[in-house]
Amino acid sequence: MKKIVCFLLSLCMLSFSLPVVYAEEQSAYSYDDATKITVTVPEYHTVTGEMPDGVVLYMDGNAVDDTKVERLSSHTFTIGSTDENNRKIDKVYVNGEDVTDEITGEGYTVPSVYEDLFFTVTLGDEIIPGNLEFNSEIGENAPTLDLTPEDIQAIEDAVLTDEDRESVKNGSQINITLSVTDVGDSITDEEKSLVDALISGEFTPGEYLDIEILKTTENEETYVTQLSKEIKLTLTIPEYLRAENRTFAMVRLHDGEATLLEDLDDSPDTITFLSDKFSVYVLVYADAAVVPEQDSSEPSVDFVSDVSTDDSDGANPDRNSDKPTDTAKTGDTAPVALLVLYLTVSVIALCLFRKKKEN
Amino acid sequence: MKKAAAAILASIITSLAVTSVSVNAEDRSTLITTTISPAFTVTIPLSVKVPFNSLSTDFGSVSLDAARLESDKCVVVTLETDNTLDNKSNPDEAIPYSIHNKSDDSVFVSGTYVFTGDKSDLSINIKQDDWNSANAGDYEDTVTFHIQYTEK
Repeated sequence: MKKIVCFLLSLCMLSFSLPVVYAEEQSAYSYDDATKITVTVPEYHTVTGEMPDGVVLYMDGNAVDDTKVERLSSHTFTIGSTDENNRKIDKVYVNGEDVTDEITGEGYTVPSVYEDLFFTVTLGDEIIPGNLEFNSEIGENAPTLDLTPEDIQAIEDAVLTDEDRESVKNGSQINITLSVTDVGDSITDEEKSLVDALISGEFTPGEYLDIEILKTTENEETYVTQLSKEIKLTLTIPEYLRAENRTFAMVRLHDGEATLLEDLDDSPDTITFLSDKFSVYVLVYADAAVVPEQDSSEPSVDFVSDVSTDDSDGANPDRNSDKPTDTAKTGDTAPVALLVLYLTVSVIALCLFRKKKEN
Repeated sequence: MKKAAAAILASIITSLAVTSVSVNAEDRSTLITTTISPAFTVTIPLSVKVPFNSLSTDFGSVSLDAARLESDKCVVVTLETDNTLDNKSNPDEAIPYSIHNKSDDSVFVSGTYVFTGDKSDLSINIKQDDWNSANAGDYEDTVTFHIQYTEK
């Protein structure tokens, strides 16, 4: 026991001298320690969205619903809206960032998905669709228009552009006015010459008309002179131009060119024609010549389009014959004098024959 | 005999530690010296897992604790890193990163510490473009802190 006590006592005494040694050793101390940094980059990302009612987010054509996509893959997102209040998509956010301006006709393309995507879409205010109105204006002494709803629809289709239709859908008002005005007093000699050169010898100018289509939007008024397709117009022939055996046609003057448009209907009281250009028109007519009874052939009228004013070659001699007059030829042109002569000679011959017989 | 030997041994040991001073009638001076050894604790960041897509991640601190340094000495901690997180399965793929002082956002290279409580708060920064172009997988890097007790 005493041995142990003595040994421990000795150890305690020795320990008093250790700090000195320690201090000397620590005067130039150096030590290394390492730390590890780790990162895990995910293999897939999730695409989700918070859509208003009636709005669907599509990725590559398929509806998105917590869809997983491979990291760094490319995808195109589109947004479909069937909002019953006709509200337009106002803003599109991806992870809180406004990407509305980056959306093209193809949609919003993410060339490399490197994070989870969360789409948010907001809708604008309710849009009340605008109105498309068609009017026709008939000037004094001008023939009236006879348009069916189908004709009006065809005119609207030909006049409106895609932008116009979208504009109406978004609340704009567009008016289309088809006007017919008698411009007989203001027609120029040059225009008259063009018409005369076209119809010379075949038709007579009846009435000069300006047929215009005016499109009025909220911002501007536009005279539409060229349509995207032909439309059918039916005009009622003015009373003072109607006559038996009279046929009508329309001459169009557009950009210095005269074109004859034939009457497409069988009614003597109307003229129906197709056109896609609008400016000055001339209602022209032709009176069919009355032929002798023994001649059963019916008069005919040839329609020629875009005829040049030069007909000097005489290829169409009828055109250079007498011009029709304003009155119909209703008289009998048989040789009456000759018949009277025949009758007189016959009576004299008969008298001479009876006198000879009595003798 | 054994008792006598133990007594002698104890006397010898005691005599090593205690200096006997013979007291004479005249005054004598005695120099008492002691040496306090330097001691300190340096704390370095623990291993950390950087969350995906994090641009700046807390990396803890390098700090000097319980420091008892000599007046002309300091503790210098130097960071050794290649600033690249390597893909474990594909060494060709890597994510660059840097370790910054959070106090001034400067790149941490080394720090000098003198007093208890001196520290450098660190962050691991990865740029967004580097995140965006990184392929999927596990990445890691080991950084080494060299701790030196040295002259100021």
